[in-house]
Amino acid sequence: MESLSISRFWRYRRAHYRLTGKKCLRCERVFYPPKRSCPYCGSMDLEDYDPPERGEIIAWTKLYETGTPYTPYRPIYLALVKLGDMTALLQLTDVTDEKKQLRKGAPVELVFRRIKEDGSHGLIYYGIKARPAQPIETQE
Amino acid sequence: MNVNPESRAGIVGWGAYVPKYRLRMEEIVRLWGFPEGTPKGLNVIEKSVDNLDEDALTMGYEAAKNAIKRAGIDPKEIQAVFFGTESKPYAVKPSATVIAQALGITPDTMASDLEFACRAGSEGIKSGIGLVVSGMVNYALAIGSDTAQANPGDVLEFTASSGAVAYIIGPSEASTAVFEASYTYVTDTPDFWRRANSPYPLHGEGFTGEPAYFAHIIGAVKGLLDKTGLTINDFDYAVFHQPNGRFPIKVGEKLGFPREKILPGLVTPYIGNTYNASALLGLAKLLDTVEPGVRILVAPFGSGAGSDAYSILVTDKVEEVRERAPPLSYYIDNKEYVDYAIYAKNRRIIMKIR
Repeated sequence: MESLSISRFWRYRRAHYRLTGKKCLRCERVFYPPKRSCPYCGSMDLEDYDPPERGEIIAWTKLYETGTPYTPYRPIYLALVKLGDMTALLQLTDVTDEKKQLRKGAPVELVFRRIKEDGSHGLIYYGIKARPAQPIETQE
Repeated sequence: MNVNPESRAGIVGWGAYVPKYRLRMEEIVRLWGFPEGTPKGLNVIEKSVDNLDEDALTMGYEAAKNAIKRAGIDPKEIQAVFFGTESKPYAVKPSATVIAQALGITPDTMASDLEFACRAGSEGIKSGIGLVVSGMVNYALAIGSDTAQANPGDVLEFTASSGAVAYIIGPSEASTAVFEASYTYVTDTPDFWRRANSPYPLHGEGFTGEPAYFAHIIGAVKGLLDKTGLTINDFDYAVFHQPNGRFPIKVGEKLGFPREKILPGLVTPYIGNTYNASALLGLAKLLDTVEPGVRILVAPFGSGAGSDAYSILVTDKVEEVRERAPPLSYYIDNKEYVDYAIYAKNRRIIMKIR
């Protein structure tokens, strides 16, 4: 998430709201956050990549030292998450049982949440987080 | 025989969302010194509590996403988004546009936030029906979502909870349930209100019952019956606004509905009153479970005051789309209890100033 810059947030709202990354059409790798050129091969021949809603934890950590806007959310869980061909560093939410929910390979699903607020008068910044996923019978 | 314009529109998809956390009624009794029997009198066991990073907008997003999955349509086909709430994150700045943007519905769409206490989501449905029937749009998305506020220690705190529901309104041929008819009944009634800069709503105590809830729901239902020639016996289920677990049963009894037709759509005892999602989550619960061919009476209510009564016929398509998204029961069962302290933090009753 950006610093509290309204125009910067607005420009990247698709990346924040839909976690849209980029796929390199030359080396076929997918990356997030989106950039103008491929960080692996330098190609500028890229297309948008919308990740699947469900993924799995590659690694996770817990932060007690957080910046001011995040203090009420302490501790903050962060995870490197594999989502299809894409990998993203995401904040985890609705964590209620570290031992059961957080481990390598544990399923997560993407949710739309408040990321931070610019005080009580400024903008509310929304974006994608991941929450521990339950096995849903109806899930495809 | 049916010539109501509403019958050309229906529910193409529905979606529910209830946050994970629950507060037991005993916690409120303990903290605020209520008699032990108060929750039982309200017929509420526990209520849903949103996480600190949730609000009416984020909950509405998840419900809408589930509705779109069931509808099986491209979000771009939605041309109207109505967001009904009384707990919008911004006083000025539409939530409907954020949801529409995040779901990939923008830019070729209408989008607005509606307010009518607990009835705004239903007004969104009715507006959606009008737009679909007139041919102005193919699909409309109507959302009812609230993180309901209650003055701490007020009796309202037992029930005020958080949840969201969404409906995709579209042509009746594509619908899982068709609107047979509808009837709206509104008056100026001062039963419940919140002034512009007030953090919590106030209510007229006993005024919220007879002249408000009961008079308007009964007015709307009787209007619907007169208009259609249907009788109470023609309905298999009835869902009324659920400010607590007692009023919907009582209004049903006054109208002549047996409890067996009301209890299947009653959700407030398990999650509290989700305001704009209240009765409409009851309908979602029925759509999750009932057989095709049943007729449902739905009557949301909003303070101020007004009620819409709908006659809804469930079609064969309901079974095709049911499994495409989690049912309401998934969210109700997936729960974690919190104490009053966590509840107070999540509901921003206690706030750190820096």
